[in-house]
Amino acid sequence: MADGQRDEPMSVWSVPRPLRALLKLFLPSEEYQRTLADLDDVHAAVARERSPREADRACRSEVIAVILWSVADRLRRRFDPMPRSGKSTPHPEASMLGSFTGDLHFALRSLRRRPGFSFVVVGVVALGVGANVAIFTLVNRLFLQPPPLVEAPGDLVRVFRASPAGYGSALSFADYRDYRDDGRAVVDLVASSDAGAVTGAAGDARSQFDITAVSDNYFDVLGVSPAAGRTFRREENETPGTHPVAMISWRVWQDYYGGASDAVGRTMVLNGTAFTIIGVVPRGFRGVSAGDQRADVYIPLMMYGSLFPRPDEAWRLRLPDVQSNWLQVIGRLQPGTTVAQAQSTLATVASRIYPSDGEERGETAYVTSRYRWYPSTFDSLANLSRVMMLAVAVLLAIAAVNVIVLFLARASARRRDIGILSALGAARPRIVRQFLLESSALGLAGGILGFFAAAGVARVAATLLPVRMDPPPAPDWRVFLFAVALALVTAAVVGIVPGLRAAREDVVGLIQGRDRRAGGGRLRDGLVVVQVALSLVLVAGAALFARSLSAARDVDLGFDPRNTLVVSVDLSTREYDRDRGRAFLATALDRIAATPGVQSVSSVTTVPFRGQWSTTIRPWPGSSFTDTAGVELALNSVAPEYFETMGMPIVSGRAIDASDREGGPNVVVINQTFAKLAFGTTDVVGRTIPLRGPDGPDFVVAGVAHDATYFDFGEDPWPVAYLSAMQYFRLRFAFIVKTAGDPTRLTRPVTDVVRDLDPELPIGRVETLQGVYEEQLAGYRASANVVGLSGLVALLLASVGLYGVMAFRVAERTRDIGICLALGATRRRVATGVVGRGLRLTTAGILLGLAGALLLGRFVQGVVYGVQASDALSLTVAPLVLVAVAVVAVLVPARRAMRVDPMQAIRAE
Amino acid sequence: MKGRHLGEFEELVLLAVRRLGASASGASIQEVLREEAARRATLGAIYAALDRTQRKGLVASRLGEPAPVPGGRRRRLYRLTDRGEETLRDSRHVRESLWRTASGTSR
Repeated sequence: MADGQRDEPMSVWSVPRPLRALLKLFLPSEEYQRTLADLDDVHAAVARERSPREADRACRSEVIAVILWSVADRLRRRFDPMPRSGKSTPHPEASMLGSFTGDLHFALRSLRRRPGFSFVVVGVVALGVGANVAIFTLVNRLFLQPPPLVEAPGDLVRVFRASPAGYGSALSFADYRDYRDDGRAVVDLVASSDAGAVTGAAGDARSQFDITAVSDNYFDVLGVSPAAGRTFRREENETPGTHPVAMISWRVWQDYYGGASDAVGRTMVLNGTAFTIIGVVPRGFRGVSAGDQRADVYIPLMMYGSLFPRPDEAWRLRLPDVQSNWLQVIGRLQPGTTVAQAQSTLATVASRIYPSDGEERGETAYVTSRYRWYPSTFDSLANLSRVMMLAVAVLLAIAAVNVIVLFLARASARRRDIGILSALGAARPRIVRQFLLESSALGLAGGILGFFAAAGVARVAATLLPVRMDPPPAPDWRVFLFAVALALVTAAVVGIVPGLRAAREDVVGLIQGRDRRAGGGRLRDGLVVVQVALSLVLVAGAALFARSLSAARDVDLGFDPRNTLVVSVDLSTREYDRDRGRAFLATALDRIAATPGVQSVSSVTTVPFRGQWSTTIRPWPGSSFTDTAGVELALNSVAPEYFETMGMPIVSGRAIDASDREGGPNVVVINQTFAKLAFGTTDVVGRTIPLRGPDGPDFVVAGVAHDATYFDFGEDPWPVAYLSAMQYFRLRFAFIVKTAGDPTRLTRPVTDVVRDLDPELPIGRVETLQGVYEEQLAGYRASANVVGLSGLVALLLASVGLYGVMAFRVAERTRDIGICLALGATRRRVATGVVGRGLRLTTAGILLGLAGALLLGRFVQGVVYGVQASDALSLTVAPLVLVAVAVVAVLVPARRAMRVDPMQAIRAE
Repeated sequence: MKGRHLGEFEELVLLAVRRLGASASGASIQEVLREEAARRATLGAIYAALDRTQRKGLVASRLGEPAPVPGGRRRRLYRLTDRGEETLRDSRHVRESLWRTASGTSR
């Protein structure tokens, strides 16, 4: 078998760890050992014949099959009352827990006798648990799952820049070096920076590779050992440009070098520079922060500049002495130190680097154990998660109440059974246990069903969130434990209420079937009220989030995102100077414009919502603002036809056009906000602005553009100045293409134009402007969808619950109704009585629910857009919807009550 | 033949065990079934069959030596008991006699 394989990674670890945990959870130790040994063999065989990835997948399905078979087998043995072979000894537990197995057997049999009931209960529990598991899978992925392969992730921290203005995610090299050297006693710091894509050659193949530059200690501090070769050495990361060494990802190793061990030592050409491969990053490593790109190649920080042939722009010169913030800094706390100690140490260092001198930036370091997220992203995701968890938790509560109602109803029907049981001497705990066993069996079945359904749901739900998740979230052992725990808690609550109730009843009465209405009635009514109340909360929430989403959609962006393709390029990755870059841009614009299906085309350095470029501008002679500290002015450099392509109206003057060439008068188009801020009016064509400081050239205002969203969704308009791309050229920009139809159909033709002009130029993001905009709405959409769907399901469950209770009530009181009818009550009156009863319960529920909705409102205020959490419309619509549903739900039992035949009803029993 | 009745899959698994001699593990049985019987079976199904036949006394198991790699685990190895051998033969006998009579009447 797998014996004597060459260098197969065959070891105790070949079966992935979560699988082992799952197996261990389910299997007796002997079966567990047996399975592991066989899985090792299967894994090795599949890995040899196909790929390690396939092997993992094969093992995963094997594990599930083994668990299912083993559980099925054990259940069958336990409930097989007569052992097949006369020789076999009784199960050792049988004597000890005889009564327990007997009870379980009884429970399962009685459930099997009523498949309809069991089916409904399992379905309702699966729905409630499944919704929770799906959301928990997301939360688990966002906040709980550690980054793969990183050792002891609990000790990791992230260092941000912090200033009164907020947080900065990136640090300069100088800051990193000072923090690292002076903070060494408390925290080991590593730095990394995503360099984006460059074209290169690996082996014989040319391709585009994503590069990440890292400090020399990066892999060692994270505890990630190379799959082959070694990691970086200190001397390889001390002087810029002197050590062209690289570590390649597992994917590159497999795809370009066939996983050969002699890949280490070979040369890889990245954008013209030859790098020696020194090691392979292990499979599955994805960096540390949630936003890290999946790098193909890791290079030392000091080689970053060498990657780009013409590092002639200041922001590109990312060498040690340059004050540019470009590094993500992660740290590992030294044993025994705390986040607070690291914080105070680094803050001391910071106060030395940035001595506070009044107005100058009082910058400091902010150390946090939430290393995976940027602080504001963490907050918004946490808010969003809270709302989603809350919604599905309420849903589960409704489901549980529903199941309790079902159990109560069934308990009433089984009163005689229970009576006999207690008459035969069953103690109360035994009766309660009987209920618990039944509910646990059904709850577990529902939980497991929900767990498996949720895996798929979570995958879909993840696409709704405002963050990229690659690979998609998948349930792990935490999710599984969560599902089982939830199912058991639900089952316990569901079983114990009717159980206690049944155990309290009087034996003789029970057996005689006397006093059938006693008990249960008020409890059931109360449960219906609770259910209606919880549903109201969800329905009101659904209405609120729907309104929030629609308010967010209605926001005037100031530009038209429809039918617009955005293709980003970065000429600085190749040998372009400004003149050649300008020529490239001009030719590309002409050719794209000539492509069929293109309505207009332009270029822009800052795509809305993507990146930002701003400068501080101080008052100048002729301006009307006085704040000497200056204002942040957003800059953008655009090609002709930008405003037309974006659908941004020019309010006065003209747009940037083809006449604004280099050498001509410097022109600028400013937006309304900047015009009002700088001059107090929008009638400013012809005025001048010293955009590049008092000593720089003046820019003449050629026109004023309508305000538009620039950086963030829902922001107050920024002051913006649009320069001419031909006069103020930047090597990194995006083509903006307005198309006649679906913009994605033009992806190919447009990128072909770029490739045709320069086959070596890596093409960055290709996206639609609508897509970029939708990403901004993702949070609102996610909450609207989750709460909306929960609301819908809640309505369904509540109506079923209400119907069930009313129907049961009518059935229970058939005799009374018959007497009433016999005594002369009209049928109409009987029906009205039933409907009135149902609506009274509904009203009580609605009132309770309104109070609940107002209380919960404060949890959601941060997540809704443009509406108050106590939105009057939502709180009006929701009760109306519930009343409508309630009427439908009680009409059926009411009709049944009307049709009661008095003679039969009275004669029965 | 009471208590010795074999399901079709059980029979296949027993034949695989027989074929493998003293070194039948779950994974190797799986491989034999795949290669020889063109039958894809999960380990779970194989274990269930093994456990059932073991309870019927048709196979016996022991722990093997650790796999000869670092950290190699001990496989559980199965072999056919005399009773298992006998049952397989019975089963074959029944089939063959049924086949013989079937061909005599239909053609």
